[in-house]
Amino acid sequence: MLRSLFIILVLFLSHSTYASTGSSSASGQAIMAVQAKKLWQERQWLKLLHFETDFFRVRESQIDSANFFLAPNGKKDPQAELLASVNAFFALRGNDPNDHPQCRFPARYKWVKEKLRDTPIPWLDVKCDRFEAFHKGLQGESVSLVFSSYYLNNPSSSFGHTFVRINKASSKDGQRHELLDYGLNYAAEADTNNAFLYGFKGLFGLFPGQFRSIPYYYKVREYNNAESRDLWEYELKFSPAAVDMLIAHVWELGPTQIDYWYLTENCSYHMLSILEAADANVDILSKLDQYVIPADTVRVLWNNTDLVKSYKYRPSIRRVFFERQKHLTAAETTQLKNLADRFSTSDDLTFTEEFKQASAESQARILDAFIDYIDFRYSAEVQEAGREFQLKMKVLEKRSQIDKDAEQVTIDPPPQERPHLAHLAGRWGVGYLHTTADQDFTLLTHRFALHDRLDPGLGYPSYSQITFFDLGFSYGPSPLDPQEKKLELENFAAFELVSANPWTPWIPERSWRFKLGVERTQNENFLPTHEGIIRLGYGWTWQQGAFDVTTQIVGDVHYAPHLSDNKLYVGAGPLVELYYRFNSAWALQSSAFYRRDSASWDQKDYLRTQVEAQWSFSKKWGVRALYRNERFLEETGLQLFKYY
Amino acid sequence: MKLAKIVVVALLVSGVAHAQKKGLLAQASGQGYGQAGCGLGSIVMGSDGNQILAATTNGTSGNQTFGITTGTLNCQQDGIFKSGKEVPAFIEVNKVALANDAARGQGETLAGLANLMGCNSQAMGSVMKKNYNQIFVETNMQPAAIEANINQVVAKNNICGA
Repeated sequence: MLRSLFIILVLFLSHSTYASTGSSSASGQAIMAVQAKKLWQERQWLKLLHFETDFFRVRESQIDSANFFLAPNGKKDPQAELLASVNAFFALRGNDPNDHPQCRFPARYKWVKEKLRDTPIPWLDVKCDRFEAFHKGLQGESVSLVFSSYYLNNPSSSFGHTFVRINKASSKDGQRHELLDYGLNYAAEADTNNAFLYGFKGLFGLFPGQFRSIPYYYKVREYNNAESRDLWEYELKFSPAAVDMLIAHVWELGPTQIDYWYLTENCSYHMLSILEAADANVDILSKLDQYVIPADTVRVLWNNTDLVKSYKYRPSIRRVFFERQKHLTAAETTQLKNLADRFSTSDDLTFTEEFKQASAESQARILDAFIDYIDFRYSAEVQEAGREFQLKMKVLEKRSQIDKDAEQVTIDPPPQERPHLAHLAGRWGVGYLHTTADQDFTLLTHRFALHDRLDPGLGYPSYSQITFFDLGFSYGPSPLDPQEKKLELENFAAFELVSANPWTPWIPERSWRFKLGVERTQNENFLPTHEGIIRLGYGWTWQQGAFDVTTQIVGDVHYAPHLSDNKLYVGAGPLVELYYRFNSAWALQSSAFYRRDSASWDQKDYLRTQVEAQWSFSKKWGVRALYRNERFLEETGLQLFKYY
Repeated sequence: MKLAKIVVVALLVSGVAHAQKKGLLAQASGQGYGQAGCGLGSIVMGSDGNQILAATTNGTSGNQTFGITTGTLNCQQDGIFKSGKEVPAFIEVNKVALANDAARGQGETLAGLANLMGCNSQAMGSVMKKNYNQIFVETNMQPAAIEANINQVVAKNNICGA
């Protein structure tokens, strides 16, 4: 017994020695070929390693996991990493072939082999079961970049989100089943729910980011149904070979971590970085700013590359409901309203005689709208067995008895709603301001992103403002000494959000606003002073023809370090705002705001009325006029905006 | 200085309030990613770590507004469904849309399921519509029950390839 074991051992050892010498000469050949061609200088090699030059002019790989590199200094030295990789491709097979470098780095292996295909090198291909299963599971034929629209209820999603979808071939029935595709997502593994900690860590790259594959239907349910966000799918011109390369490269990234930077190396950035790694002809990152906003990547893809083959719009459940509701007659709408009311108030759902007497088509139309309505209003409740679920079951049961197909809902949003046609998110402004104190000021503003309601009405939700890092300065007479000119910070918004979705009988939406920033406050009781501000407003917006009217109660917390007393005070009061958009170029907004303050000055309140109008004479340029009355001071101003 | 502290405290309190809101949300949806079902986040990280996991996050957030409470763990290997697990995972995540499609007798979700099961989607649509009550009403939206009922109805009507 021992003897036979010994013989097996000897045989095994001699075999591996043989294999080892055989492969080392082959690896020597391969390395010589790589060195002769200086392959480490090739752009795609650098892209496969995610080498980029950063802000401090340092060129290194953006991947932060040691397990992504085979050479000890691989993060900094692409040549060393290539030579180490080529050498490793000839390594002996261990117990599990899936641990072999060829299986761990299939994209690198594929790429090197392709580059050296003219050199006769005895490659020893390892069979990588797990990678092959992954590759087969994705069954990629083409690639789409998917943009999910802005979601104001979650600050991290208010800029939108992008991910890649690997499109499968048509199935046997000749149809594409997009729901069965896989998506590739890059996201931060957030370890906190504290919004402020979250924001801080996100901005400074303190979350690890990871790539994940995820069934596309999950994304559809999450975005379209649970969060009611639209999805825009951009199919890219990607050859099947490049799709294979993409799948192989994503496999390499699976176990790695990349620090997630909310503004720069974020989800959208790395969707583009993997596309560049997969296809040497793709060049997008160089066309982007240092800051990467998801919508920007879609716009750049559309405008600055010829990569987009076509786009497809996948409406949210909310949008589908409103579309169905539009197709109802007045009588059907009344029926639907009745059903909706009973759904929210009663524990039982019966169908009226009037409903029963309607034609089958009509019943089907009403119920189809009603089903989508329920899913939108009660998206969480209908997942579980509960009251809403029981009621909905009755609706579906009734629907199943009506022998009529559902109307196909096809929505093609007009150009001003398409995110790839959006105006640019950054904004510079220069302007002039005149006050009733007969003083003149020069204004200088810069906004990092994204959109306010007077900006060109292109590509962003028209009922919202999403401002991130907006800075405004004035240059003019100092309040203490009018002869002296001073530069003053007038306004800073770290984050400012306005959501003014109009109330409808179907969906009693609330409207709200939030601002965190610094304002230079004018008050008759003290000299202009800087105050830190947290502002929250809550109310409703009503649509009145082409106008919409917002009424909110707004509460402020002020912190004014330069005041001698009442450094911290709070105030609250009503805000009424009238908004009118004539077309994508013209918009007007006027508002009146009254606030009662907790501080005990002579006069404890504040009143402001203002009117603003903007004419955007092109997608990149706009002029905004302002009139503001703060009771003791009136200001008129004009600003020129450049979107970049 | 004292007032600066108050502002900081106010910030933290609002942050915590936010956290608690999310906590409730997570409770409602029933799980973190670790214990997730078929549809998402089945953790199958191997010792070598060469895995691509399925999970969902939205950009940078781990916010889950709807969740999956039941299902089989370990449905996936390297981010891809193991064979035989596609159907239960699909039903689990798509049950609401699937019930709608069944009642209407057609739709994208139903077509997707028919494809996974190797069935003719038109035939499956009309069979599911006809047997809507039998499939869905008593299930309380338990995915396993829905799946069993669909299998039964589909077998009885013999609409799927061999």
